[in-house]
Amino acid sequence: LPIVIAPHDPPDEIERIAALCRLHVLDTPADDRFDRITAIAQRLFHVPIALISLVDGERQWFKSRAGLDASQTPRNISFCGHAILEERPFIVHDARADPRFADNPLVTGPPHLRFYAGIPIHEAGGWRVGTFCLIDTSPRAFSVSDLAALQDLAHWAETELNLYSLEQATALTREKEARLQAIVEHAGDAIVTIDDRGVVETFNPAAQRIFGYRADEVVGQSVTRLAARHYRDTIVQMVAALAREGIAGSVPANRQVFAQRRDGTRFPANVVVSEMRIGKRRAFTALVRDISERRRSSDDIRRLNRHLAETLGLQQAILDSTDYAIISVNSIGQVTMFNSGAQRMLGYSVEEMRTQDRLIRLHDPAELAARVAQLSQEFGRQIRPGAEVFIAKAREGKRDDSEWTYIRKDGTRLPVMLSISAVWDEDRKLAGFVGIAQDLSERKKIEQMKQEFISTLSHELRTPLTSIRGSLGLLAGGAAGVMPPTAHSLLDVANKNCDRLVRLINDILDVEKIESGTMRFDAVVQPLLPLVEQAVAATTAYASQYQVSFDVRAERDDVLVAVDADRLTQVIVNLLSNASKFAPAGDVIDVRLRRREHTVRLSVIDHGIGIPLAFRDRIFQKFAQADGADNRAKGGTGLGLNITRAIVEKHCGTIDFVSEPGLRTEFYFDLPLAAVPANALPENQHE
Amino acid sequence: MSDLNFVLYVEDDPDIQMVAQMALEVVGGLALRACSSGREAVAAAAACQPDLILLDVMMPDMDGPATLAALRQLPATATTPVIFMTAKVQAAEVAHYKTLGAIGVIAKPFDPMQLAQQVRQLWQQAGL
Repeated sequence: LPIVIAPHDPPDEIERIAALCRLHVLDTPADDRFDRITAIAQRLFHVPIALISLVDGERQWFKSRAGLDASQTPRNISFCGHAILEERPFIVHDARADPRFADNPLVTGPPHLRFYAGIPIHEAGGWRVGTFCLIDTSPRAFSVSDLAALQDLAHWAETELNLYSLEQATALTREKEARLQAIVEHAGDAIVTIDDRGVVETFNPAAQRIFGYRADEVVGQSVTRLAARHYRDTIVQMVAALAREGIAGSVPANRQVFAQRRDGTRFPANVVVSEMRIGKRRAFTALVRDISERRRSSDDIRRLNRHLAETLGLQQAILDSTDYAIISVNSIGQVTMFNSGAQRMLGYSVEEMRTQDRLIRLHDPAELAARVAQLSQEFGRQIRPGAEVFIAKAREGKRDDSEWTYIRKDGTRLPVMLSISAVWDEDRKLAGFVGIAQDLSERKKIEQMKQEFISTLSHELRTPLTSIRGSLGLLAGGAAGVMPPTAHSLLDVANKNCDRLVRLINDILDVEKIESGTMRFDAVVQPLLPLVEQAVAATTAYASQYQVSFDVRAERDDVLVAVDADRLTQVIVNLLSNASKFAPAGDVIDVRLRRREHTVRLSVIDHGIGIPLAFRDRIFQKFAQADGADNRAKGGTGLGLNITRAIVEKHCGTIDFVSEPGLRTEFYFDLPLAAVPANALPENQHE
Repeated sequence: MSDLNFVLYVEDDPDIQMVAQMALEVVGGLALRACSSGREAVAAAAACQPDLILLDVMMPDMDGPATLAALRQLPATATTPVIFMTAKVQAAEVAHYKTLGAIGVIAKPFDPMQLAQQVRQLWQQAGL
């Protein structure tokens, strides 16, 4: 095995390498000034190779290499690595005879080195950075004058190298400066340099653009003119502190100020200050960035956040203070809200109402079952008991407003109006449901009080009316003796109006019952024609007062409807008496019963004055009267048609009219045909 | 068919009582014992042995149905036909009074010239 003895490192090798790098010569292109020296050495000493070698960490690199192709060789086989270890010249007369180099690849192989003579070269600080060396392929002697000549050349090379290094450094500085200048020129931020008295030294194009000043208007002036008026004192203090303490002192390197443009407008700016030392002089660079945009957008965000917080706060306040119970569930049946109104109303805490199933158990089971049946019929499919009962309607985008009975934690019950709506997310996907429950107990109590009041009032009114009506009737009937004719006609007036007052009370009671939902309807499937005939019989006497009569015709006599007989008779009587009142004397009022596909229509047609156009919209309203004077003369209460329509609608029917004044006025109602199994009919008829 | 002659009439309002009394006695030709309360009627029943009892429904203290129940406890009026007089004339209410044993209901206000006739009609309809 070849034994190669690598040169060991000189002491302070790290500093030596650093000094070498500071030369900025490594890996630079070849230069005549060095090649001339090596060429002279080649000729002078008749050697094949003369080199200026710099010994780097892992290699020796040749700044000039007369007679050699390789630009570098590994340091561990280098001769120069040995040469730089000492100040004196390093000379190997015959490498093959020298045990340090006999096996060196440069000796055993190309360039078959036999002779080496190297003189260390120093950089300006004295570090031996390389050598000036000669290489011969045959052993030779080296005289004192040879050595003196080589030392001269080496000194020359050293001088050139240090000169070259200086030039390199200058070029590099220039390049850096140019690069810096370009950055300053093209920076988006304003770059302003000031001296330690606050006088502007440079003012880059961005600064000119941002502040609106030309450089020559600012350079030499105080930097305070770039600050908003109320910031100028601050800036003066900042500059003073910077001059006193430097950048490491009390002035923060990065701060926000209000700057001012040439036109006087102000803008928020972020300023980053850095310090420069130019010789003994101290100066500062300020990087100024216009942050009005950033400020604006952060203001926007702050404003939005504030708005959001206010909205959320408002919502929370509403949720907390409302007496409505507000309850929401998500799409997997978890309760996402059970507000304080709900907690107060029901006595349960949020923790006790985590799931939809717990919510369902707030309800009366019998009521739930009834609702399942009702909804199943409405939807034409079986509705599953459970949550579906509440959300089936809401799921289809409709609000479900239903009355329910809640059972509180303490077992007491309360009636509520529960409105349930679906909640959709931003992709229009079902996110859950929200229910708002309103306590109806107060309203129910008031309704009951109102009902009691009206029924008491009506009784209290009827009692005096009964004696008035009775007394007048007896007087008019002659029970107290014969009256003179004038007294008789006055008694008639009193009597008639007394009747009217009784009718009014009856109608008001009916309206109240309809509106409070307490009017009872006992629907029984029965043929319609007998009810019509009863109503006609009951109204015939009344009609004869107006000298009109009825003509009843039915297409069929077996049309069945599910109705409350008393109430429907009331409807027909109302239509018949209305027709009688407004028909001309001698008129025959047509009463027609026609079966249609799914309904039956009863029409009452007179040939009287008809209904004025302007009145048609209001005709079914309470106390609606086409012509007050006329109506009073006819003894109406203004409530009849309103009650009539309500009763028809309670039977799932519709009521309307067609009127050609002076010719023909038809009032009609349509009722759904009763769908009744044939075997159920006799039983109902029996009732 | 038995004759209707004597009526026990119970009505708390004195004015109505006077009017009805006149309508039944003067116009209708019936004999009448008018009472102003259920208690008075119960006390008078045994003595007067009425053919028919005419009862106001809404009365303080003992109302019509309560008075009827009390009269039914007495041998003299255990089966005597009863007609109620009331301001409430809903079909369902009429049916209710009939289940209490009334042969009919007369609505208030009534026509005084027709009252006796109405009473007699109900009497006949009941097959008495």
